[in-house]
Amino acid sequence: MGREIISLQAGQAGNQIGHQFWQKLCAEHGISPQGDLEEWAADGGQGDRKDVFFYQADDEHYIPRAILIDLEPRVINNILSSPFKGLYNPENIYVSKDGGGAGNNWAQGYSAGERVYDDLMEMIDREADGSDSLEGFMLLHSIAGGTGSGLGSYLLERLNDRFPKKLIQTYSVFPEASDVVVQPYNSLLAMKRLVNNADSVVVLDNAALTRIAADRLHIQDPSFVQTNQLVSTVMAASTTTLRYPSYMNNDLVGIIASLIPTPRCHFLMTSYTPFTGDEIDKAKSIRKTTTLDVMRRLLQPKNRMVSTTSTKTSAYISCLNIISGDVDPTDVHKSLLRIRERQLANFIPWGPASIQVALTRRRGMGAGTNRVSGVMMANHTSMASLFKRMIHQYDMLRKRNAFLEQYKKEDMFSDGLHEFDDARRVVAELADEYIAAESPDYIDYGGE
Amino acid sequence: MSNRPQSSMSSHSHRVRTTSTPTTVRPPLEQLVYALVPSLAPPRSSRLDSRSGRTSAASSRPVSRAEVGDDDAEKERKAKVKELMEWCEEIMESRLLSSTPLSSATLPDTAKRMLMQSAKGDESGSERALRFGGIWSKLERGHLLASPSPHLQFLLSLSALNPSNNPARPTGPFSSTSAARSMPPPSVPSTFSSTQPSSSRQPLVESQMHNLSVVEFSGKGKSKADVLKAWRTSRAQPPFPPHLLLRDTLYLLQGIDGRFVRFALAPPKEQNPYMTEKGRAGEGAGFPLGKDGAATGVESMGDEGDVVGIEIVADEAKDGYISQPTRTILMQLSEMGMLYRRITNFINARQASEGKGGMTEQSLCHFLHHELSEYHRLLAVLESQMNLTAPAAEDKPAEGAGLTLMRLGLWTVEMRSKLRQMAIVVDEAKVAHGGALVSKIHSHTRHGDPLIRNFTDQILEDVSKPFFATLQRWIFSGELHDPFQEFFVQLNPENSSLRDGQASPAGDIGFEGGIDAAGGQEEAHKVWEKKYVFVKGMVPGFVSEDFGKKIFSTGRSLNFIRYSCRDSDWIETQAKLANAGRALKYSDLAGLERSIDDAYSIASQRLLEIFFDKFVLLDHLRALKSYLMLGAGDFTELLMEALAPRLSKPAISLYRHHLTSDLESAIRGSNAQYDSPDILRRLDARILEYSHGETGWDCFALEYKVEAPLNAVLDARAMTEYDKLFNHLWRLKRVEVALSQGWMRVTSGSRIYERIPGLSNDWHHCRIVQAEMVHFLRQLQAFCQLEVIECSWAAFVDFTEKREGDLDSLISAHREYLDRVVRKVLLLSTKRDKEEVLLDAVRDALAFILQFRDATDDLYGWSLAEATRLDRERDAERGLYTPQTTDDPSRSYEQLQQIRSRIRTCSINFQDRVVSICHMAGSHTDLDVRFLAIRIAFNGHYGLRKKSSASSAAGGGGGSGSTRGTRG
Repeated sequence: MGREIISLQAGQAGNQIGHQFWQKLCAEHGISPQGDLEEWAADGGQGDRKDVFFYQADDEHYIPRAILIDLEPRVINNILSSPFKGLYNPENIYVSKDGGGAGNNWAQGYSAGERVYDDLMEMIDREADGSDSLEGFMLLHSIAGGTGSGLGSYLLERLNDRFPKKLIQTYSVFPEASDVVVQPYNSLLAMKRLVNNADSVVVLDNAALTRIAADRLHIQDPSFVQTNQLVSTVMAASTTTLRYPSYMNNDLVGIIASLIPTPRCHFLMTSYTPFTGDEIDKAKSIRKTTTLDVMRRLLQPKNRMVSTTSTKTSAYISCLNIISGDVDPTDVHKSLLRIRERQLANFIPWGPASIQVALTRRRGMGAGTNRVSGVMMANHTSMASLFKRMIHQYDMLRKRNAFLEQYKKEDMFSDGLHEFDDARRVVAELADEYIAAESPDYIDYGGE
Repeated sequence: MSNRPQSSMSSHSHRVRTTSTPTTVRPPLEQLVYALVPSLAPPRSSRLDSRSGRTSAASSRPVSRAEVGDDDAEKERKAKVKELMEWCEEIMESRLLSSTPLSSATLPDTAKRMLMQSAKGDESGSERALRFGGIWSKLERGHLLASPSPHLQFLLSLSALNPSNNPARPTGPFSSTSAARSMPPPSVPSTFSSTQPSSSRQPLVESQMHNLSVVEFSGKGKSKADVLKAWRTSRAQPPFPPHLLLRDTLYLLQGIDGRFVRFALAPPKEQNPYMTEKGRAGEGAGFPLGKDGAATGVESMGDEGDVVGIEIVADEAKDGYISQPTRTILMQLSEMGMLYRRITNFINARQASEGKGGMTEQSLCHFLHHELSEYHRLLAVLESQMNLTAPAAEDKPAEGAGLTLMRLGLWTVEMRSKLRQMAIVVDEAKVAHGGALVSKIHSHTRHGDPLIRNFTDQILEDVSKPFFATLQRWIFSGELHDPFQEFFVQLNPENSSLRDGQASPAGDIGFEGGIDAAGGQEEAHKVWEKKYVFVKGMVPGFVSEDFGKKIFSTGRSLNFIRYSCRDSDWIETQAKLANAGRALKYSDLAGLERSIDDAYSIASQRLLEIFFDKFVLLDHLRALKSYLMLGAGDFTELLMEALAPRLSKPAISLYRHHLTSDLESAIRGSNAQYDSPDILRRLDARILEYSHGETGWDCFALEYKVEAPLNAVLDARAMTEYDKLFNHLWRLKRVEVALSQGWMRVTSGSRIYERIPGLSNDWHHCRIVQAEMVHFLRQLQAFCQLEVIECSWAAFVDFTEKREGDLDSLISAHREYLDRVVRKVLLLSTKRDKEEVLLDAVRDALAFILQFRDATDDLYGWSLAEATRLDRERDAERGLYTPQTTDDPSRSYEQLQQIRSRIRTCSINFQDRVVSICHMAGSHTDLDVRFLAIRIAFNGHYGLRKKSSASSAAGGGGGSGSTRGTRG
């Protein structure tokens, strides 16, 4: 059919998440680590659409529409030594020849992007040409470091220019305060591109991921693999409707259009429930879940994969629940009524908003597939607190003019740090717009 | 059989008359009278008893009480005694001596023999015979009587009449003629015994006497009746000869008019005084009756059995008197003749109609025949009884033997009730036939009289045979073999024209004809639904209606399997049924129920199996849900993507082959390709009729073809509903696609024109409104898909998994499913003329969305142009060469204003519509539709608008609940 989505995974986090993501997709679609169809999936008619994320080579085996980019070889080498090494198209893997990485520096990553642009664009173009009707790109990265953040930012800008009519969605891992010293710089600079050059950003917060791993899964001090599994689970779940077409939400634009009313407010938070052993290694299973349980838990802040601080006026601009498993459609109806009755969710005052529910029925995959699980993608005004915190951290660092030397080495900052100021302005505006969206006056927001 | 003295009397009678002198006989005669009628005896009657033991022996009647008579009574008594004595003399002179002469030598022996056989009280027969011998020898020797032999003969004959153990003899005063009439009816005309006491005769008499009931004895015992008769005869009122009456009665019993007694017929209709003037005029004029007359003639022939009674045409004055009791008996007996006539008339009429009346009637006739031959046999026996006596004494039937009217009545009691029952059945058969008749007959089985009950059961056993034969064929082979429409399942008469393929009359069923013409093929649904009809009135009484429905369904299922599915199905089905087959009959109703239950479950299960397993009905329904209800989103979107450019053009430029090729590629490109070819080949693109100015969007339809037998479930009506659903959902999809494209421009593409000053507000407004539209549309879609289609489907699948009931229940389950979907997806109201109010509002809203889309496209275009202009201006400022454009900034500003007002109008109109939709849906009778209002106004937005916006005063917001929607 088409509506293909090309995944770009940049940097250490991006590739790790991506690797988990592809494993999960393979498991769901019955694709072996070598790209062959498993026996149970071989007869077709699973109701799935593998071609959104995979294409078939001449020998019919499935290859992810993925481009693996990193400036240092460690993670990608790990991938290539994993059982899934045969899955990816080797031509789609880019590892910087010098292998030095981006040194956790956004500017280095951005510059590296400029340098390797031609190589990357060749891959991207080839993938784009290989699809019937490309719907868009999916960038997996973290914004704290150098490659994912800097090179990712560069890619976003270029993709926007080159494919103006294609959607760009990112799964962006936002850093914890302690990750990298310069992460406030990196994040802010990347944020500017996420605001300006992406259509939709799924925000995944390392702090929240750690918290969820501890609270929900009772794993103290989770490994990267475990948190990445959380992310990949969410990714897989939020793309279910693309891969298992039903009545609606079959394309990215449909989902995004319903979630994002205004162009800048496109930062989506996610929740997923329940995490169980199927998704995460060593996770303890929890009690039986019902549709109402799932929908209620999805609305709970503690299940959000973003650490935002809600205020009394924080509100959902939009909300989409994708529920998988054996769901009685009437349960959805009841759950919605219950949620509304108990006012479990606040909504914006300036327009209609509600919880959309999409049901998908994943098939195959053996045991556990019929269990009810759900992912929420929501556009929530409390996202502003995240940005404010980001600005605050940046301001703290910037006040001391700390660690700027590394940035000044690169071209972009050679003639001044106004890029920092611009990025800060963009993020601050975004935070303001999110705050403004909590008021009924948002209808006339930005009036001149 | 005349009792009158006749000139043709034998010579003996003359002899007796001359030899016997009244004076010598008088004293014994008087004593005789007293003995016979003790009430007439003078008070000192003891003398008589002591003086004449013979008479007391002969009379054998205890004198129970002495009558206290005064002078008048005494006078009267004497008159009567005299009368009686005269009568006795007469008997002795005329009748007795006319009997066969006996020699005086044999007489005493006869008497002895008779006495030997009779025992009375403490005396044994032989003692009495001895005593008689003594008396007799005294008489002979003593010459007390001049000729004792005639006396003895007289006494003998009396004693034969008067058996000594006669118990119940009325003791009423024998005073007047009225009293005589009130005596028990002279039902036994042959009260005179044979005067020939031959031993060969005796046993017969004896046996007859034993066979007869007490009543018979009492009647027989009444020698007074003879006396009365004789007396009447003497008074020129001779009793009517009973043997003639008997013969006539036998005729009557056969429904034939006798010589003296006839059936009285109801006056023919023509003679009915209450007939219309015209009729009378016609009659009066004596014109030959035309066609109508002939018809009435036939009718009256048919009514020939209308016997209203009997009339006695005997000339009583000449032939003799028929007493009232006799008349009553005749009347009673004639009832049978009447019934017989009715029954035979019925049979004849039916036979004449050459079996048009149906098999039930034929078998009824057969049964009646059988019963009537029983009746004839009885009549034959009766007649032989009569004849047995007749030759012996041509005019005097034998005593005790043969036939009397009384006996006739008695012997025919049972037959009479049978005849009555048959006549009732016959009457019923005139108005009902087939199952209804069986039903009516069956209602008699609840009769309290076991005789009638059993007899009715017999009738039913016979009469229901054709019913059961038909039933058997129906429930075991699904064939209706019922040439006379007697079964409660009948070929639908209105269907026959359709099946014959004849064009139906344009008038009344033109609608169906139209569908037929469009469908072009025989529709299994019609076959199933209309081939047979269930006729409630024809369900036999012993089959309850529910059970009848079951039978109806069983046969229908089999018939359907046989003729509408394929042969192999039938063979398999038959094999399964083979075990269930059992002979069905009336007497085994429990077995019948079992057999039918078995057959029912086999047949309906089999039919469901065929539908589900062989014709994969569920797959077809799923396909309909996927393709016509757009459940397969990927397919739909591909199809729409491919078709959109074509459909935006005027309808006239559409070509079907383009559509089908797009359809083909949509199938190939989507998951639809994995569906079975049988399903995919049924998918077709269709161009509906369009009028001028319509675009392709208005007249495109996706079609799913079903043929027999699938269209038993997916009938034309269902397919029309699917079409309607497709139309609406396709429209929603189209708007969804339009909105997605709009979003790409308005929101995602905003980077392009962000720099143009003065427009950000416009764009922001557009986005807000667009978000509202997206929300509305998605809620609507989700509602249709989730609340309606999925929920209904789940309920339907639940039903199909059970596989209960028959095809009918499957059809109705599907109908229910489809109705539910149509009603809710199309938001139909239950109000008659306002059915589509809500749907119209939704369509309006959708139309405004599309208009809004066009307006925003124009704004987009204007923005791009403006951006170019600004670029050029900037270039010009920088001194670059710019080609002169004709664009006038002020004119383009006008355009902008126009676009703005269009966007504003569309927005306001849209919002108004949504508010009123919320209002209407919120007060909808359907709870699910109400939930749509809740969905749309989930956060209370439309509830708030109602309060804040005066313009939407007409709208009610999102229903009562929406105002307490959550908000921060």
